[in-house]
Amino acid sequence: MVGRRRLWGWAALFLAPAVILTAVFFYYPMGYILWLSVHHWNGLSPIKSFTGFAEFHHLVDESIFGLVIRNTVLFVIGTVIPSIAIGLGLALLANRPLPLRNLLRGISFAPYLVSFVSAGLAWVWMGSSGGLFDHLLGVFGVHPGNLVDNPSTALIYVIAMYTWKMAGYNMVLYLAGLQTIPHEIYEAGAIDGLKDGWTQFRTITWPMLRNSTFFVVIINLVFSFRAFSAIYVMTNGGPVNSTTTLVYYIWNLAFVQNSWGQAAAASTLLLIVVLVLTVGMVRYFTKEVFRIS
Amino acid sequence: MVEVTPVSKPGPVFSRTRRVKFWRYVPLMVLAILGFGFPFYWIIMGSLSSNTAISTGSIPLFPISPHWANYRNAWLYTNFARQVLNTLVMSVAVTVAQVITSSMAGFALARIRFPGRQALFVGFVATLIIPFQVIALPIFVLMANLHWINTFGALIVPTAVNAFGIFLYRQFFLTIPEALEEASMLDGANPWQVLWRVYWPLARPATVTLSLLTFIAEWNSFYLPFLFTETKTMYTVQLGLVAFQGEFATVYNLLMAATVFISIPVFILYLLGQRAIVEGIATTGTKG
Repeated sequence: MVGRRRLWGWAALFLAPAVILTAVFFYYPMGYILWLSVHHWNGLSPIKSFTGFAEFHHLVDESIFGLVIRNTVLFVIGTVIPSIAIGLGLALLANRPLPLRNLLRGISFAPYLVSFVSAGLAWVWMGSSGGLFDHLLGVFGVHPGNLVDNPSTALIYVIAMYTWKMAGYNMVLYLAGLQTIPHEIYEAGAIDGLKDGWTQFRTITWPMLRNSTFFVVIINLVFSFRAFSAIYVMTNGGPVNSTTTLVYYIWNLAFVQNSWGQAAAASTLLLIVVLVLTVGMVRYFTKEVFRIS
Repeated sequence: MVEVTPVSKPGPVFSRTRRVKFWRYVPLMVLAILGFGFPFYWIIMGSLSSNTAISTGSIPLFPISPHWANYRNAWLYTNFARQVLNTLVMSVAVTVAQVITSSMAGFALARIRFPGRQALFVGFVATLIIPFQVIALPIFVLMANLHWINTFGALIVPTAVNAFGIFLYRQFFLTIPEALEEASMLDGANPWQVLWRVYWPLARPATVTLSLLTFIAEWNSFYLPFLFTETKTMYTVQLGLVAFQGEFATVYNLLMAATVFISIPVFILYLLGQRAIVEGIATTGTKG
């Protein structure tokens, strides 16, 4: 590390592109969205009038708002928990010195590589009536018909597709975490009588994976709040708004209803929710880490 | 793939415990492989099916008479060649831009001590948390005012910096011994030359990882090109795919064929750079 003052100029030069781009395309828009959320604007006219928190009131008063929040909460919880749980299960399986483990890793990571658009379209076809899932469920005597066109199954179906796509990514993160656990701990545990798989997992593996879980939870939360393309191509927010989540609603407010003030208020809401959750997670996990050490 | 130290050491091949473990876990693995892999197989089967098979939902489990013409038709029905070109231009430009901006910023943050260094690093990393949708509207307004909508400028410039790249290079440069830098400085090289001639070549693994992940992310990206393009001549492949669905809603065999060929480049890159991709993802988890 070189700390002489004459290098400060060089540091400024090296940082200039990244700093300017981040300022223009991240911090300026952040400030702008906060400013816009207390103004009324239809997206076209040059007039942006200050309205205080009126846009937030309008947003909350919309009859659809409660449904949007419900969908967002269900979607986030419904994707984060299963994709982490399945990802962890896959990692534990793929970490065992058994045949097929490389195939398992490759196949379960593959869905992460395809785009949400491709995966979404493929799942629309597989969930259509007479499609793959209709056939498979038919074996059990259930005939759901079209899974995407049905308000009671659409959200669950999008969640299933999202989980299929993200579980392999979480597996990779957990596999990296499993590598950091020294084998000696299991040997020491075995001497203390910790021999069966479940006890080993509960007392050694899971606590040792704490840092991985911390990171996996945060990144999955961030990803789930962002999910737009899957919903756009699979359901268009429908049927009867049953899959309209906050990010979909923001787009709809701005580009379909030309209600930019409300869209900005909704963006601000999303910003606050994500920030509060992330900071909350960081505080929760760091406190836990301190308590243990 | 990640090299993993086995949790349970492999015992003698035919030992009893090993056999028990085999029968306990291998069926689970087969189940998981089928669950995650079958949709891919089914998509390919769909893409090779006849119109009748698709519309009646009677897809054969094995390709008895594959309709290869579906691929040709799907390619010809739309403007995919143009969209592939657009996407290539966008993805390559963004990748190159991110490698340059990230390695420069990562170098300054790792190797030069200046006031506010830590705050700046936090300021970069914080951008990873906020969803793009939060800031998309102001960027759209900015692009509209610049008259950049429907141009490559709008597709490339807003994503020319990536905090993940800065993080990756910074972590990498921190591991390089200081003596190397001091030696090159004594040789009369200035920091610019030290970065590009000494450090950057050493950071090849970081460059490979960032390039692969960025290229794949750009190839697959939807929301940004969706907002910032207007005409089909500027569409990227993902937008083309959505437009295809709009026009040929239930012609699923052609739609699946399009889905397959649009995903091929990503899988080729994955097969070539599997290790770098997986390690890149794992690094964010273990060093974050």
